[in-house]
Amino acid sequence: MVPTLHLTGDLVLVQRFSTKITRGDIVLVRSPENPRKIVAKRVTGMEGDEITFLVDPKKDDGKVKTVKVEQGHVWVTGDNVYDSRDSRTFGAVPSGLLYGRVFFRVWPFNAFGSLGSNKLKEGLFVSQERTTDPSVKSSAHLAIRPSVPPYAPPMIPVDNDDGIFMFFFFFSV
Amino acid sequence: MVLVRNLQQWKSLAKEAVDQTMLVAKFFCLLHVTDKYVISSILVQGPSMYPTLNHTGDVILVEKISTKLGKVGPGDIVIVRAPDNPRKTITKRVLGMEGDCVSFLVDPAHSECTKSIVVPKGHVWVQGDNVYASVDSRYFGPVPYALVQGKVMCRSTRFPLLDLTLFSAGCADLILVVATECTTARIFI
Repeated sequence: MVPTLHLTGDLVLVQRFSTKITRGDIVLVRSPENPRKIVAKRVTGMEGDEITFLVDPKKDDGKVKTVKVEQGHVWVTGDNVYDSRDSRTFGAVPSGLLYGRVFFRVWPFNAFGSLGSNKLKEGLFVSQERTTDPSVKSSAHLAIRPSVPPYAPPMIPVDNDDGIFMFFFFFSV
Repeated sequence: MVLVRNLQQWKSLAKEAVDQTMLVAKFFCLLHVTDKYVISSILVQGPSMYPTLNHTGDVILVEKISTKLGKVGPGDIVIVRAPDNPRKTITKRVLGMEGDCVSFLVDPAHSECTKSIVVPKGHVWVQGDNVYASVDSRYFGPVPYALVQGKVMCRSTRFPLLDLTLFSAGCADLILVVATECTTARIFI
């Protein structure tokens, strides 16, 4: 999540109770690949959005992929798109996995301040909102997952622990 | 003089009030922690787990420690936060853990075709017992393990009896003994 969050670790305040999570919020999510890991990512797409992203930003080809975010899911991305395991790897994340919203940084002290929801960075991500059409029923009927799930294990066996493991205070009710 | 005596009475009254309030607050905290992290009882309805669970409604005891320890396996009935609606909680049976190859009937009411899928890492495959009327992993795919909230332990049939037929083998280390005055619990292992 560089440059928003430091590589060496940040102490942040996390809002645990539910507020409306929108695009641009930094959230903590339980990783779908490892239930014991909590990662910090930014929400770049809500349910119903169509996300277009570069398949491999390190390569120079312009290959993009477009994905529609399903009902009840969010699309999360790390700010450092070159080195982040996020929804581009494991697909849209169910909203039930959202752990909290990061809203303030306490340490390091020279970066003390609120981590507000930024506007979406241009360039690497385009997210289009889709107005929900109530006359169109969601196609949940026999929506079989494709044979290659979007969260298939990557080809390169890299155990990239992108989840910057940070200590956090949380306001619990 | 009267004022001093009144003041002392008020002080003791205030102290007692504060003590009682603290007691009630502590009780609610304990209740909340137990309900969220140890064991809780919920009412489940719906036809998707017929005949194991009733259509009209069943009160079941759900324990939350096994899921945190990772002791959930195929055959367990679990409660899961629905992936398509985080406010909805559904009760299904786990058919496969990560790495397992699960075969399922795609649409049993209309066709015989089956499909096989390997459950990805960190996910579980849940399916209702009543495959004809169940929205489960066949529709929304494998469920991330962190969405599994608890494991169903037993069903309460008629207080104070407990129907422990839902007691699965993996839960043997969490024996719950319910002591009642009038009758003993029926235990099926």
